[in-house]
Amino acid sequence: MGEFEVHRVRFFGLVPAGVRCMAYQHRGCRLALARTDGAVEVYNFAANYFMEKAIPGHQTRSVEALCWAAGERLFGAGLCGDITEYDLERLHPAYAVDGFGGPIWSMAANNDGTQLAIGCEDGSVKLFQVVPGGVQFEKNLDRQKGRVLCLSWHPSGTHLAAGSINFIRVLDVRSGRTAQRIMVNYHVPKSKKRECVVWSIAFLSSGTIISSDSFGRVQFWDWERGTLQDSHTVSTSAALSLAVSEEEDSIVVGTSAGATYQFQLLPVKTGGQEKRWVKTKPFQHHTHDVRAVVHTPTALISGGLDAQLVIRPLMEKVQKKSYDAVLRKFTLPHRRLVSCARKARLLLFQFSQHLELWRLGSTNKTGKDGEVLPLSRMPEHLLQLKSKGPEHIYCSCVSPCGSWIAYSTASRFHLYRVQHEGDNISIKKVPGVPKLLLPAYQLQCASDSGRLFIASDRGSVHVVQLLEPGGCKHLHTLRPPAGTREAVYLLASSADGNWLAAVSGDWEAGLCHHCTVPTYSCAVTALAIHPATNNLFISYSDQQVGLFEFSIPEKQYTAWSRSVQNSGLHRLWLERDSPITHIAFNPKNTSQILLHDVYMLCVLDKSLPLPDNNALLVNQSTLKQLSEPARHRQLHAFKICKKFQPLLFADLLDERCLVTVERPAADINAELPPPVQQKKFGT
Amino acid sequence: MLQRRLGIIILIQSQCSFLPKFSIHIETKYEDNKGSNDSIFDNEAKDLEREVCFIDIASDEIPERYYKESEDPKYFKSQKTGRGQLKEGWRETHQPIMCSYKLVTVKFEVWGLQTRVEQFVHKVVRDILLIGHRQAFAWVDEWYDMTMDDVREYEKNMHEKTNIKVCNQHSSTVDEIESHAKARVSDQKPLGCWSVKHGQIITCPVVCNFETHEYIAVHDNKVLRIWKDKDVNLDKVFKATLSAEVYRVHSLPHAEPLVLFRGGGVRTLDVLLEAPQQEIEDVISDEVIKWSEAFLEGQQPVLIFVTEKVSLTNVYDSIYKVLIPLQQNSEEEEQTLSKSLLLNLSISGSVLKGTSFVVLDKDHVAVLGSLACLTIWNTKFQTLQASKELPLGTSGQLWCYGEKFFFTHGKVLTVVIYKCETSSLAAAVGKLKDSQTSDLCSFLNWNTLQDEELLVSCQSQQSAALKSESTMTVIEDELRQLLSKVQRPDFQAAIGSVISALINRCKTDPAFYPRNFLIQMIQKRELSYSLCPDLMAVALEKKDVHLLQICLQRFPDIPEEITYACLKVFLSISDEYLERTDVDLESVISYIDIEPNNKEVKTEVVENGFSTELEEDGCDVTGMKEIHMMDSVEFCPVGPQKAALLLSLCVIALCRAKLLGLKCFFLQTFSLFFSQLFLRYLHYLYVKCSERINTTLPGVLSPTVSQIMDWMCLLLDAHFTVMVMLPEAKRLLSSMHKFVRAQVRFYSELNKIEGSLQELQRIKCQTDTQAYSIEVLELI
Repeated sequence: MGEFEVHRVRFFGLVPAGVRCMAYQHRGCRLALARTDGAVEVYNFAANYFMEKAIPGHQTRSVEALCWAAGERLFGAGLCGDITEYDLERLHPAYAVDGFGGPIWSMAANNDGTQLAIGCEDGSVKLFQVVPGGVQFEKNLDRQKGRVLCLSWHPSGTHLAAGSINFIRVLDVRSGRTAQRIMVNYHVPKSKKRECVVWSIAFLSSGTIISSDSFGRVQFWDWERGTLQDSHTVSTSAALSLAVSEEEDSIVVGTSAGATYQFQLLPVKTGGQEKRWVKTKPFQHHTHDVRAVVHTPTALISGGLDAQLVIRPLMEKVQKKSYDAVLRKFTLPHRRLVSCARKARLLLFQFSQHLELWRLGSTNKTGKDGEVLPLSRMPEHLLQLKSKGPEHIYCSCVSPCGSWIAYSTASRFHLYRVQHEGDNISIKKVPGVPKLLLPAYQLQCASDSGRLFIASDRGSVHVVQLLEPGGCKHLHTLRPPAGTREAVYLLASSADGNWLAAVSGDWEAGLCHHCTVPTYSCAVTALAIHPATNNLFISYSDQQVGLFEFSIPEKQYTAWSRSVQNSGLHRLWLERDSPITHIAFNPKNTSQILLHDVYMLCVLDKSLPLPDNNALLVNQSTLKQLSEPARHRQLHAFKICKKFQPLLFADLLDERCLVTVERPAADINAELPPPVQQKKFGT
Repeated sequence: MLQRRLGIIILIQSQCSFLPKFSIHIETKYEDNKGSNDSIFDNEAKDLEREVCFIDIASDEIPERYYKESEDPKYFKSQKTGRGQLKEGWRETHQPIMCSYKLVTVKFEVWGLQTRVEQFVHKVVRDILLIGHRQAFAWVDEWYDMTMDDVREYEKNMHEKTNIKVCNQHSSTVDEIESHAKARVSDQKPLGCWSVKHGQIITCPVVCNFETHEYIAVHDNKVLRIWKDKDVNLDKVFKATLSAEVYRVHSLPHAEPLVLFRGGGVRTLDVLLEAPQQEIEDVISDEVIKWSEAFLEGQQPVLIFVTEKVSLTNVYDSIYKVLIPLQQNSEEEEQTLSKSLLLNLSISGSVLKGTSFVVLDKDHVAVLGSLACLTIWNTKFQTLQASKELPLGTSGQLWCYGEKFFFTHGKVLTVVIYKCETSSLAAAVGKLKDSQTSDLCSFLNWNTLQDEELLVSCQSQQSAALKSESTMTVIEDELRQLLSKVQRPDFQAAIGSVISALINRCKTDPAFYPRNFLIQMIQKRELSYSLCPDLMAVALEKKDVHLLQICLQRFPDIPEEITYACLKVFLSISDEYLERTDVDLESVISYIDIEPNNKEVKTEVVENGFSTELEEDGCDVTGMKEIHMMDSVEFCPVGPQKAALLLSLCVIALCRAKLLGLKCFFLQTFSLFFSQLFLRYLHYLYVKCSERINTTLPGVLSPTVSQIMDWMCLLLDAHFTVMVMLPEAKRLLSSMHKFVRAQVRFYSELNKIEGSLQELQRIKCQTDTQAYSIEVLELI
């Protein structure tokens, strides 16, 4: 097929924010996750753990607790003292209600999802009623000094356990009185007494309270008597987080040393009645504090300050011992943070509060496979664009010619004109940007750089004409024929400027003013329109079906797509679970399509036969050792390269030139603060 | 030069706060005006209510008990500055004038008490400030010339003095008293106050002659003053100048006061007053009286005193007894004034300081010495009857009341019951059986003395329980009930006394041994060795290894000899005996397991974590026994029970002094067989330790490597030469040597690997730091 000149870019200094808290919705199999920068993400476990929604953060809005209540409503609370409900359709905070108790450290919803309890800095626990369209203050429970760091409802909803510094309180919800007060530190000798922070707490229906504290202990208390039933020291540093399974027979604990432990309620003797909590499995997936853990029926999920989300399936709960039982780690977002100006060979990197524009280097040599070519020009950092205000950037894009940069925050949309004069560069803000309904969720420039498409909520797309030398005009707004409430999060435009494809949050891929692609019950992870054939390529997060090619002029799936569906894809391909985040095409060869996910880069050649299950899927290294005739027999459509990992972005600049943006885990770790010191080798 | 001027104080008070704490906060500003600035504190906490309160140092009332004429600004006239005699209306006329503005904030947020307490505190603060400022004005002559450095120096001195005073609050020094106040005990109000002239020093405590209700004082060593209640001025009362220096005047009820001179002479006051200038003989030469006391023996007053003689090598400490018969005839008296050297204590090294003693009966004297020991002496035979070391040091105060000593040492008031045998030679040389003269009874925390009634109730109940001829279980139950009732801060003291009473009974009655109760008490972790020193001795005697094990784990202060005795008992006791006892196996159970089928069960149990269940868990113990059968170097050389016991011993923290002490014991008597066994066990432990990456044994109470090494070194130091000679021990030693050498080599290899790994990482980083490259990729 040929040789590519690969621009390996590793200078994108993205440091994902650490995971602060998580909430799991059992019915919808969705995990809400809040990061330390205030961003909230929703992962859909049914759709191969795809990051379905992302609400960018805010400098002043920290999220300390998340919970799902009243069905599928997501609430967050943080140190700014507000309870915030997130609008998951428009992807921004819908409203905030002041808790009037200072910073909020914890929040918990009762089993029915009708009431929210918050624990505040001033030691108060307040109840809020979840009503349609908002939350309503219900009452204050007994206040005692000391911030309330964690809360847990008794499953019956009659009592609340609140963990504070040095003690745990049990509050009667109806009377609002403190029913029990347990001193966590009571048994420690006076000389060794230090402040003991109860980081996390769980209230079981049997009346047992489980607490994890800053001494690294997991303790089991009888709440009515206030006595200690059992105590396990899991770590020399703090045990930060705790979660209980729905059956209440297993818990997971996260510590600040990055380890997680599973405890299980097991009979003391086989067949015996007496059961005991036993520490069963230790895991060390994180390097830093594990601030949040979740126990789903089949997996342990942990999130740490090292920004990793780790999903560890429980072997005994997984039916088939296959790919389901594999450990999954997510560090990088499933969103496009890099945009590429192909013609100008520029890369635009999106950080949480600024943008960076880089020019790629070049070489004038050629070489053989695997060689590193000498650089004739070094890559160049052209400009850094800082976003004003506390809001984080939702999306950004650079036009293919490299002379327009656009980005959007929650409330503002910015468009800049970049002028290149030799090596000098100047930037000018475009005046008179049309007042649009914000935020914009995705920006896409037409390939001739004449128009900018702005994805907006309710499935609409605004079209803005870019005028030389630095002006713009709002042309029109495209709205889907069937109304939708969800925002558009993916856009693709055709090279000839006739077609635009948009995907909104309810997974409907639509071609504006033309037709709707048949709905498929899975999230779209990437889409693109072929420049030559105007075929729409769609990849779904569900790898079982995976790839579709939809012919726009004929309003139906192409023959190749049908044959793929009929013959089925390779087994190993189907077992992949990281979503394909970008699709690109070879301008010179219509049959070649570039796909990539975090772990691999794949060039799909439609002209070659699909591999069957017996063939080797990743066969590049074996092919290279074969002779020319033998190679031909082995060739198949998927040409997979796993050299570049973890891959944030890959694109074809021209038919022989590739650009890859990697973000090695070691680089991320180097920018994190040092973890808790651990002894090695008895030194 | 300080230019301080004092005038009025304004007290501005404000209250109210929402913080639930008690705090007093006083902020001060000085201005040279008459208190006319109303807005001086406007910068601080404007929103709060304030009450302004003027204080006039001259005319405001002060509590009577603080009043001193010399400090009354109305009468005081400064010599150096000419200020003073602040008459009515001084504020308008006097110059210079300074006002001290105080912002007093009192916070006390307890519902219902807030207003009252805050008002009370405001009142108290006001009084303190008023008195303080009056004194500041009245003492102007003393500080007027001071430079800032002088002030700092003075502050430093006073600080040190305060510290000394606070630390030795019980021993007030007599010499510094310059005026004497007679106080009624009930209301602490002085009934009268007399002072000597400036420059005169009262050199011995003032006493009251009970017969005549006169007061007797001596100032400047030789001048005797006698006065009555109605006398006001001390200068005008009876005065007699004596020929010799007086050490002390002793007054006894129903007897003449006795005057003790520094030379050792003694006169009754009557005799002395008849001829004040009479010659006083020197009884002691070049010795100094350190302490004296008078008492009535029969009808005769007896005066005893302690002298100290400083020679080049020794400090002699002599006790003289002076007998003064109560006879009117003065001539006869001189003849019967007999003194005899009763006791001569010699203490080498240090000066006798802070000693005190009491006379117990006609033959026994108890001395509390500066070398921190309480000793009881027989004066007839000059022998030491009993002694008790007090490592915390004493303040040299000793009282005796109703067959009990009371003395302070450290922060503790100790009460010791004593009993003096009738003096006989046999008792004196210690041959008499059961001559138990000193017996520690109870041990009170100084801070808990207020709660004496609780302790008394405890003790009475306990003694009642002990006296009744009930069975052991009844006693245990009663005690348990009793102890469950009291959960107070002085619980510890009560337990201590109960335990020691129980132990005493154990000693006398061999059948009585409330083992379960004792174990329970020790497990509460509130006892220590010094609280009940006999407990371990009794346990050792009874070979109650479980109790000993718990003691070793729980007590922080076990002396070496007991440790050593425990070790000996543990090693000598047979495994068969041990199997019948219930030893806490938790600490060893996790690593003395070799058979794989047992392993899983056990680790799970250890994970579960509770020791109490383990004791009853029979299957585990049988499992251990099987393992024990397979005797090999790899396996534990002792049974699991014994291993657990030894382990609990190893966990004891060994400081340097302790190690030395133990070594002495080892050198003296330790049997070679035992030391070999113990060493083998330690070796085994060490091997086990090294198997793990973090070099700690599992379990809660496991020794660290360094502790094991300490014990090993101790044993080897003591017995190395002999051990080398024994063939079987030699093998052990050589294997240990090999093992240690292998360890050293292993660690050095590890270090090397670590170094090279770091190097590798460095190289790798270098390649990776290339943030950008253009590579060629061929896809086929």
